[in-house]
Amino acid sequence: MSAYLDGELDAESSLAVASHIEQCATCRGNLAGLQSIDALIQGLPKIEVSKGFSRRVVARAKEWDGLVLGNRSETSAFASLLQLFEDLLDALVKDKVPVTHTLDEFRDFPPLSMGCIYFQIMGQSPRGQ
Amino acid sequence: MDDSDHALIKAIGNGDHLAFERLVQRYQHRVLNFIFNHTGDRHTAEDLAQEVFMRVYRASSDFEPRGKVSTWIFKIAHNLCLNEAKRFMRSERLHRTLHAQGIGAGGYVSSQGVERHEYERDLMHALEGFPDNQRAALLLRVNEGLSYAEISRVLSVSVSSVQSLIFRARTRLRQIWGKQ
Repeated sequence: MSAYLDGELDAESSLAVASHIEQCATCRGNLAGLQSIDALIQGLPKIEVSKGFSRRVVARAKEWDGLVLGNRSETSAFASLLQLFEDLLDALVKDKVPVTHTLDEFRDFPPLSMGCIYFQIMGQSPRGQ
Repeated sequence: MDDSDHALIKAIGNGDHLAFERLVQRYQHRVLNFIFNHTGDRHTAEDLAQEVFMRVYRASSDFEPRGKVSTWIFKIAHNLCLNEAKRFMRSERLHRTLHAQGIGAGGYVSSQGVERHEYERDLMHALEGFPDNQRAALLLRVNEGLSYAEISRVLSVSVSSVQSLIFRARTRLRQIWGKQ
């Protein structure tokens, strides 16, 4: 009956319920009862949206945009600063640390450092010993 | 300019604030009253309604155009109502504990900020006692005119469950009303 009231039955079922209701006083009463419940719910007073509600929401959205853009530019500024720092570090240490891409780079490592120990285990010596 | 809900959502995704304001104005009354019928509190309803639209704004670029915008908005509103109900239950427990210890704090007063007739208070009170899904299904059907299929998407349940939820809600209300 509830689905019939909401128009959610297929055409055949809806027709069957409609013709039954015409003949059955109890079901007519039930339907009227359900309709009166709906009318009560629809009759509940509505509250009005306060003045300027949509403007306040849009202002919040703009504020949020500002935060997101601010975060993006902060992230970008930090990335640039980090890159600058890395370039500077590269320039400073470039001449001091030999980059040979060979085991010679381990020449100055202490004998008990992990690097030296590894090569000793592997049967090589960074010191060419 | 295409003024359909989908066109507005697309424009909002591209940062169009005018489109956003238009969408808010289109739905603000329905969303506010849907939440108000859940919470019974005008201020909470307005705060939550703002939050609904902010979530719409933030997620507009992710909106799946196959669905209806209204269904999506009511789904967000319903989820926020559920969160609010949980938050309220937690604070209610705390209030009861504090009250029992003589620390004060009054209880929750239904329908704050609105003058209500006796039958409306009774009806609101009866609705408050319903399970969340039952109340939401009934309100979405009767007040918002959503179809069972749309309500099933809002509540994330099957269409047959929606039918059963609405039937039970109406029957229960009828029983309560029949006794008065």
